[in-house]
Amino acid sequence: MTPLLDVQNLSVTFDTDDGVVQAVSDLSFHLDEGEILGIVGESGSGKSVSCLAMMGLVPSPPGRVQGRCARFEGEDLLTLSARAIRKVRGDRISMIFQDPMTSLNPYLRVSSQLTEAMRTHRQVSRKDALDRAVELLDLVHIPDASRRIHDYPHQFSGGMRQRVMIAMALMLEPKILIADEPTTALDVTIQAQILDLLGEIRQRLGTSMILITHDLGVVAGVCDRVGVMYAGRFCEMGPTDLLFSDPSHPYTRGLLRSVPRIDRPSHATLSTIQGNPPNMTDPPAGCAFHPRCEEQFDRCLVERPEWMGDSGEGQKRVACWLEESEAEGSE
Amino acid sequence: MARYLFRRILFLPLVLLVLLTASFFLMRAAPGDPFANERGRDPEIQKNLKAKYHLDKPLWVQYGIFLKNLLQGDLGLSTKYKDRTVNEIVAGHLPPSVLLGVIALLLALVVGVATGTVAAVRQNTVFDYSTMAVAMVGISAPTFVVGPLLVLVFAYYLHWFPITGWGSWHELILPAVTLALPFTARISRLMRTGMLEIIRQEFIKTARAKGLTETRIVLRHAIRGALLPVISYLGPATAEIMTGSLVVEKIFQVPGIGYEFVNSALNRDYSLVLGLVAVFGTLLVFMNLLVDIVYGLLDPRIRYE
Repeated sequence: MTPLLDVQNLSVTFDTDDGVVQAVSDLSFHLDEGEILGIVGESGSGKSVSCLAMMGLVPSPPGRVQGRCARFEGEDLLTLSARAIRKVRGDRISMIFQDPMTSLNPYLRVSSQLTEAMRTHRQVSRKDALDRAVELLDLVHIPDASRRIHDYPHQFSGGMRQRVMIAMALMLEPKILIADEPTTALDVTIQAQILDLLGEIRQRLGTSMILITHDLGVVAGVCDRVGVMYAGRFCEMGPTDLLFSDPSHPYTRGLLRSVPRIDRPSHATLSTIQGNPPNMTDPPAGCAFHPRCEEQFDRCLVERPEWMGDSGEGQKRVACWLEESEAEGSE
Repeated sequence: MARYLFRRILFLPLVLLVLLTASFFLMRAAPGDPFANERGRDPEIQKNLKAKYHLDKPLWVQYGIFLKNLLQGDLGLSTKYKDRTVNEIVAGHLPPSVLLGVIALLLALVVGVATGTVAAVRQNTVFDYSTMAVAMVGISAPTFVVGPLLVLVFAYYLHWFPITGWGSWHELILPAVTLALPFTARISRLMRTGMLEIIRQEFIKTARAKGLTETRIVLRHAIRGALLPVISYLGPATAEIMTGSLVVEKIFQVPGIGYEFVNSALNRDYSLVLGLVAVFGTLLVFMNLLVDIVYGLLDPRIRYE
């Protein structure tokens, strides 16, 4: 089965005063029809930028996007003209962002913000677009939608605004919804509601999603597959349950250890990963994680690990030399 | 909103009363009187003149007479132009000034908003740098330099416009442009700053993610927020245009009220000064009210209570 979205060797760099920042390096991943893919990583690991780059939303200059391809429905997103990719945005692929407080325009009514993508991409009347918008506000469980649609964003609470954002993104039934930290700015209880909603939408509409987050709890709850990003590359990728039950990469293991667990005594110290993310104008040689890795050995310092493991369905892949030495050891 | 407006309008007369009372007593507190400069005049004539303008009565009686006449819409007799009432002077000289001011302000708004927006959208390009350079000159160069220069180039050498005069739209252009220049420059800079701030907001990213064109993003999503600083500037700008038109009116021989305003103070023309304070004060107070209303219309988060 050909995947819905197939990204190969995507790289993004930014020219800054301090030199060239290598935000995303040689990133490859795919998204299947109806799948929810989680991309986790620390801030600055390149998870948002890679999606923005795919959508032609990285400002250039200072940004530069390169890559072999990003195949989507027979088109290569990376080679589309500005005009052509604009037609994809908000129609077949739509996005929602982190902070629903600032992501909605405070000066415009929710109704006009909801309908404008539809009015831009399709020939529909104001009335029809408005009906569709009310329908979607209902779908995302906003009570009294036909009246609330005429309100301004500041009249909604944070969770409600994120629901409005989601409704807005779904107006044209996109094939892919990219959710960039959709729950980060919300209270924990509201987070759970929004995640449930995303799951429900996938059930009802079959929308594929890319969920970008730094929160492993979010990933565990809704994603089918997860990619862990570090310093602009994936270090481990595979089905969610496999990745959580048997993490291979020292970074993934470190991340999982640093999540508070309800089955551990509350006074136990939470473990952390030592050090800081690398400076991306001058990333470390070899494996980018080696300066912080407790299990590093000679090879990690000089040679960058490539994907190891089976790339087949339901398999986990990891980019770490440990994996290879383990495999050799077992032979 | 309606209640707020009602209350604001209710307060307008009070604001004007305070303004006029302060002006009345300040004017009287200044040394000299309207007839002090006319030396060698018969003391009898001086006395009669003062009696005619009620200047021989106690101050509070004069104030009372002033208020009573004001309520009847009578601004009194000019002490300098003895055959003319202040009402006549205002009626004759205010329209050209208002026309000039309104045109200059509209010109400044249209050109300032347009150039500021384009400069922000094309930040750090030649257009941006040159617009901001011209704006700097526009703010710094005084009207009495710009006016004659424009006359020299466009009237004297190119013969596109008459050198001075008043009456046709043709004669209106040079003075309006001269008056508008510093305001255009300031609005352009305010607009650029406001626009730069807005187009870095998250909701602009959302608009881009919807696949809207850049033009639509700027015109629909960004311009409202970016206009707010410009709108707040319009209040003070109106006051500046009123007082600033004096030089322009002088250069282009416009029969406006700016000239009268300055001269009335120099002549201690009590009734003309107070009359003009009343007219300008009213204009300004209404302009500020208008600014607040427009502000509220542009930004729905603002609640008037």
